[in-house]
Amino acid sequence: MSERIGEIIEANTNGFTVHCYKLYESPPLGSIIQSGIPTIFGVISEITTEPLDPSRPIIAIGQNEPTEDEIYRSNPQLNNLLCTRLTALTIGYSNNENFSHGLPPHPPRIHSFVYLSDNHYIESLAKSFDFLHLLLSSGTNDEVVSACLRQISQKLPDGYPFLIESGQALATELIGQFPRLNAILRRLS
Amino acid sequence: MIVENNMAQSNEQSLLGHVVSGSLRDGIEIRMGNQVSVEDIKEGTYVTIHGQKKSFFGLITNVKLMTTDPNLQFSYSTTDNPFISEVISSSMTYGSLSVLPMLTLPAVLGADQTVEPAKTVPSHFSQVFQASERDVEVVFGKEDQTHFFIGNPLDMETKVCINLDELIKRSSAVFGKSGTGKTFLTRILLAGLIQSDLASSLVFDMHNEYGSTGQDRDRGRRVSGLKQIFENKVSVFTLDPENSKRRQAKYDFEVQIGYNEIEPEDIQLLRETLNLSDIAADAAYTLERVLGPKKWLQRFLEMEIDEVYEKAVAWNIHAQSARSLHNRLSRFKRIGFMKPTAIDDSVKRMLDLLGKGKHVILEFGRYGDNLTAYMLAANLLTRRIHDRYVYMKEEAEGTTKANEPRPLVICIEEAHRFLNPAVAHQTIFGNIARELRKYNVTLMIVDQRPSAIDSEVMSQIGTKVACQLDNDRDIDATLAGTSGSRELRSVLSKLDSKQQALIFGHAVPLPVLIRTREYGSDGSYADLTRPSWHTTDFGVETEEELEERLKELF
Repeated sequence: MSERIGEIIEANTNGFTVHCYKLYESPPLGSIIQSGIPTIFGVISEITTEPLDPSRPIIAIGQNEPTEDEIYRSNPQLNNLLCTRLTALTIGYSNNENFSHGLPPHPPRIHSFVYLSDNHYIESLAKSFDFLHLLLSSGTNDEVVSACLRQISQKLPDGYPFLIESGQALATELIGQFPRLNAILRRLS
Repeated sequence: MIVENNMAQSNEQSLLGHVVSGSLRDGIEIRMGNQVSVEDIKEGTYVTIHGQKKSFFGLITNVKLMTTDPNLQFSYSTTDNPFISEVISSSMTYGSLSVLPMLTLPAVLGADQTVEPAKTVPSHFSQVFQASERDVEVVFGKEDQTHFFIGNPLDMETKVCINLDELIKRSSAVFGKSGTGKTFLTRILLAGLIQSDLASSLVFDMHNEYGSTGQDRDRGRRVSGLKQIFENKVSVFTLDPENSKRRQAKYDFEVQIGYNEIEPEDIQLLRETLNLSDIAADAAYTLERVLGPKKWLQRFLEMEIDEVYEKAVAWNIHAQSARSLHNRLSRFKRIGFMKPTAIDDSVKRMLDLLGKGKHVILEFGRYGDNLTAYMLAANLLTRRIHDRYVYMKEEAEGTTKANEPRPLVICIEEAHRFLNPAVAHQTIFGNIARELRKYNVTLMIVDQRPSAIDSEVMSQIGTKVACQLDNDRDIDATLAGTSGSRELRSVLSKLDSKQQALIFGHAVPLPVLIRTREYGSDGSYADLTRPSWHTTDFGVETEEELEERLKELF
């Protein structure tokens, strides 16, 4: 299994929020991550870095520092006061190697470890485009959809046919919404 | 013959798409599958649709480009960006076919189960296939005595056969612009009649193209006439023996027409060609009355012009009209085949031959270009033959069917001259067309201006063969009263000018677009004289030959 990236700190059946172990070290937008038993798969739809304590707003402190990195070196406490969180939309789950598209019966537990999905799972996921409907109807930014498809295609041995097929699937999903489809396709090309 | 028409054959055929919408009246819409290119589909192609309970046989009448989103046409990215273009063209665009369901095919074709006109449509998402050769054969019948092979559907090698029995029951017509192959088609149809022996035919061969030799102007070669192919079954009569000799064309008999055979009705028919006024043409009836039937024309033409003037008053005819009538009728003297008295009763001879099952071709020689001569001879001979048939038919009534006169098909070119609305009620051709098959005489009309033919006559035509036509009125006239005429219209206007024809009407189960069969090569003549169905198991053609072989044996 791939590298562990964090733990679930908030979850529902539609998605979950992950606290990353390291500041600024989250997988890119659109990546597929997995967690829990049964394994639940999600697409990273938002990445946030913010203060751990919402009551302590961040102020600018680098006026006399020559570089941005110097700010962190001079203020090592920042690494503990800030955190990187990511939000994932659930697209499927697997139980004993049987992959199911759609929402799981239960959300993952809090503090479940979260991993970046490996290629084996991504290839099974890419066999169907049912996850596109979940993403498009979740209200998330269409950029997430294009980012996710790009991420998957990079993991596959031959990504171009996958992109064409996903474009066709999008055309069926977004019937009557040509400008939206066109915008996503432009980001895929 | 039992042919299983089941779905097993589907795999051999190419799937075109699925039924998505439509109606019985306007045809059904087929969404084409992505694996088929619209560029490979031609209008007029046959398809079979496998519905849930029945198979349908239909004709593609339109090919369309469709999109799932109308906004697509306004986007540049679909052409600028190869990725988007590939995605869109394989998902949001598709070909659509309009199909007119014509027939329903039963699941199993037996002796008592045949194809029927489609009275419903296939259900949603029924699979649509390009019709296989066997489907076409099932629909049009196998070549035999009554089914004559006339051509092939476009893009197929299957034989399309027309039902000659149906063809001769009602009048038929061959329409087409000049140079589109009307004569070729007519010659093939006549060859079919001769081959089948179902009817006798009388051909008014205006341009000497049917009897001895014909021209294939496109290939610059001469083709054999019907006399050359069917030596024993065809008799050639000529009105112009000199011309026949010059052309080295063999003829069997010379035809002369006596003045005594001409009746006032013939003059009525010629009113337009002779440029006669109504009054002048009507004067012929008065002349017949005062000068005596059969003798009137001879006596009238013998008169000097002054005498005509004098007597006109006594006959109660307008003097100028009498004069112009005399003047115009004097043109008859210049027509070589018109004699005061004919040497021979040509009509009787023709009738004898027709009765024996022979086919008569009347060549006009030089007179083919003389419209007066053509119309006069055609009308006069046909009238007498028709009278004779009416007599024979009436005589046969009440006796056995065997005594009935043998069906006769009279083939005329430039038919609108005889059948235009002004004269159709007076000419014998108009009568024959209207009376239909009551007297076993029907017409085969060959014409380039169907719009000039009386609509009443047009409505009685059973089978129409249309070559290319591009005048709107002609197309309208040709298709008037045909079901699905709107769809056929576009097929008709896009016909090739060569070797293509649309056949519809009684002799075919559905309108069919054909590539005319080959005529002109040695093989094609052999196919006509010895069709595949004609040979018996003993390898000989007819019963007579079989008897001869038997005699030889013993």
